[in-house]
Amino acid sequence: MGISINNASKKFGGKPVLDGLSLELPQNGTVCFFGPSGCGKTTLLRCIAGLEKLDAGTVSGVKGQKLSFLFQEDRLLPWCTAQENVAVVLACGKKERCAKAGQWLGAVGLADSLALYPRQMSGGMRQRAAAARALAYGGDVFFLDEPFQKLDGENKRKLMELFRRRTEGKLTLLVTHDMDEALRLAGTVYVLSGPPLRIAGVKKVGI
Amino acid sequence: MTISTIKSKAGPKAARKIFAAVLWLALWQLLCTAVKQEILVVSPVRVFLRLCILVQDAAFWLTVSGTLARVALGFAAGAAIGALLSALTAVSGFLYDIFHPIVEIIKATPVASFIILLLVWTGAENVPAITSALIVIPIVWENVSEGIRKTDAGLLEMARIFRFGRVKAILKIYVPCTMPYFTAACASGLGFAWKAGVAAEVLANLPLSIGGQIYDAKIYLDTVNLFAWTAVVVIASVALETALSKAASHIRKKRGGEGYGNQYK
Repeated sequence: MGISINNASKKFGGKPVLDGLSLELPQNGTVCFFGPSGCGKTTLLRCIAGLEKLDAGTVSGVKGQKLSFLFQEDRLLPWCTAQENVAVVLACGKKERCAKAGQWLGAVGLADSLALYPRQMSGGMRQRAAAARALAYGGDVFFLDEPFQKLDGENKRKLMELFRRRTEGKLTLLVTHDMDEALRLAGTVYVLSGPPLRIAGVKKVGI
Repeated sequence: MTISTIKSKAGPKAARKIFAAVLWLALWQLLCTAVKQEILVVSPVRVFLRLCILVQDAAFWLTVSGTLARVALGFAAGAAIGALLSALTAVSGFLYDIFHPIVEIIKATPVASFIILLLVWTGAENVPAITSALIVIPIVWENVSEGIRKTDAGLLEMARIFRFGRVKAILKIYVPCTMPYFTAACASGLGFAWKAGVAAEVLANLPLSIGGQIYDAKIYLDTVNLFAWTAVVVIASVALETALSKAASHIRKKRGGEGYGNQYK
């Protein structure tokens, strides 16, 4: 059974961002929420992940699932190195944690930057380190909130491919305002408008 | 920036500091010359010479280390209790309501009242350490509480998603986020702990203590000794604060330098 959003409503400062939204999401595959900035895509993602409390309505099918989230900001611990930032989310022995973190950072092209602190990395490097953290953690549902916006073309393609492989057979919710990203990664694209968030159209993409 | 530029900037800074010190010493000497009564104002040269004599005596070092130990013990206990209280009151509103009035009372009560009450309640040798601790507790409590309130909400969300658990969240997020607030509180608390500890020693007239020496100087109207021991307090306080700030900065650099605080609000 996938995730169900029923009559979800959420206001910020009296302004409705979600207003009675209902949506059924599949158990696996990549679903993209595509729409202009400020339409409420991130709020929808956060509500599904349980990071925002709904004013009304329910989200079911998420409880008990292991969630992995790639935020718009890197949200790296400033006092930890790139390797420590990835290792910190892993639940295994210290040696194994460090080895796995190193592997994932290598996969995103940061093999030479394991010992760097976030302030010593560029915005793109930090975003890749955050992606390595989300990939290393794994999960049943992946939440990707505009994950590739700070990356150049090659790194973007490399990361897309990594996520495509890592999320196979799982559900991925991708928020973007880049149609190219949406068409490359998603099986279903919800075209959104708002606020309040409305589904203006649904596009099934053949892979 | 080249090394020569850094050097040329550091040069005038050191020169300005030396100029300021010389200026104040000259003003002190002028005041002394104008007053012409050593019982009221002693010349800096006389104070320096007395310090030179004092440091040659083993009792001087015993006295300084005795005061240092008492103040350090009180300061460490105060910092630990203050930090623990801030953690407890951040977690529980009920505990906040219980402890907040007590901390406010400690803050508002004059140090002299504490010292006299403690002299009545406990042995004189315990009074300086307890007084120092009582001065430090509210400073650390307020600062660390502020640090906890301002802990990066984005990092806490990240910790929630990646299921850090309470202990990991405390060690990896709360402690580093509140550390700058804790070290700032320690830096200002140390100065207050010194002053309060020495004041307690004066009122308790403790043997082998700086406060005891100041008390004797007052009784015998030995203004030279009073100035000399006061200078010892000032020098020790500055040295301790510098050591503390260097240690804090060393830890910060070792753990990634800048970047503490709320970046993702």
